[in-house]
Amino acid sequence: MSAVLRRERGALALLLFAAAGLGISAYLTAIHYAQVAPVCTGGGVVDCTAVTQSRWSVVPGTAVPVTVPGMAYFLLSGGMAWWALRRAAQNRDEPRLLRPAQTALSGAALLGVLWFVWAELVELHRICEWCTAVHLLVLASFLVAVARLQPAVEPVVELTEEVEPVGAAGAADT
Amino acid sequence: MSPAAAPPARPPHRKTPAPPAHRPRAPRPAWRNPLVLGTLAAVVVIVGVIAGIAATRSQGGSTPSSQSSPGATDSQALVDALSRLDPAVVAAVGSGGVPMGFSSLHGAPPLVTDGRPQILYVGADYCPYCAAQRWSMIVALSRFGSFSHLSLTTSSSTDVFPDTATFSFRGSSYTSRYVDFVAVEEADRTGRPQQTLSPSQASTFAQYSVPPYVPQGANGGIPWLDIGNRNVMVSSGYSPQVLAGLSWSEIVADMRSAGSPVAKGVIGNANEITAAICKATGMQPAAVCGAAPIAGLVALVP
Repeated sequence: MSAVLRRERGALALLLFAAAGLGISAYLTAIHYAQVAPVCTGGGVVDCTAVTQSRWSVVPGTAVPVTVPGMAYFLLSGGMAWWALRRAAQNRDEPRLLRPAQTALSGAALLGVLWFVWAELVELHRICEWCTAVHLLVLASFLVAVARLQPAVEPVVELTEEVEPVGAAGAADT
Repeated sequence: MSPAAAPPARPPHRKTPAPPAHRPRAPRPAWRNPLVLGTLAAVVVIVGVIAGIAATRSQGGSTPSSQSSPGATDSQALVDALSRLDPAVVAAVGSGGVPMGFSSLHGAPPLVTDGRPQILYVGADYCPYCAAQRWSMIVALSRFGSFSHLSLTTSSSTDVFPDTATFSFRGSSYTSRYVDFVAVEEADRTGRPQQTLSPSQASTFAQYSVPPYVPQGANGGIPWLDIGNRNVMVSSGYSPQVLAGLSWSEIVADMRSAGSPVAKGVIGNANEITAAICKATGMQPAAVCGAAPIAGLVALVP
């Protein structure tokens, strides 16, 4: 198993990022519905209460906190990473579209992150440290997903002893 | 079957020189992957552009709206202080002895923006009562959302309670998921017109800034505050005299002591405004509306 984890470090990293991101998103979702302020520093530019109480903290046109699609992303991303690790442990190839799908998913999440960073910096002039942690996890996931698109190791060709039949060209029936 | 037709014996094999074996290429670290590096660089550039736009807007927004900029005083730091008052002081102040200034607009159509109660304020920079009222409004509204780009100013130098230290809502922005806040500062501190009411705002103001919604003699008076067309208030909840001669920093410092006239006036009035807002939001957020002394004050809002 440890050999699989070594070989699939990218998938393992994605799984860990997803677990961390899911934890933070779940916390922010819980405090949203409980209507309590998050544990964070306050005042000045870094002020997660101001950000989480702003109208940017919900999906536009809804009352759904943006952390809910965040949780969905981390669940999907973690599930894909887990799938890749399972297949590797079973010595089976990953589904061909798994890595492109994970890259596309992370890319979409990164676009959402950039939208939120815009809201934080341009509209609110405040940054939420919990949100920033999630943003970095999404960015890291996207970079790992991109890296996994390209095989890092070329296939090893074992050619230590090659044999060739003598007179093979004339071995046909006569 | 002739012997010639017999299957040939398995030909002997001989070793042939093996072609040079391909050595496994060492895994390329992800940080050297051009695609990863390019993606990272693109994200850094985009975030940098966003930060640049934010900095440009921030510089534009921090320009004082009036002539009496207090120099080195940082308005955002003051606003941050107002949004983080000691809960023990807030609870100890309660209403601060400030009489409930709201009247009910029972039966009026709710004033809402995207489902959130709209808070409409009409005032002017020259007006000393507006100067006093803004302190409490900033304290109250900061409990439901956050302000940015509030600029420092003083009331008129030639009116009663001259040069009362305050903020101007002109050019500021406010964001909240609970309420919408719309402020119209009709004139600057010298009395020159600067913002006008929209037709619908003018209609609402004309309809509810007259008796019985405001006291006799206060028709069309400012500051005028409409909480979602549920309650209106005219004038400030406390006298601007409380702030006389005090700088912005001194006012904030005085608010740390529950027994000070400034704390009683500004925070007491803010608590009553907060209670009226809580009534309009259906007691949301619970962390604000359920806390002392707001929960008790809500019952006093007509």
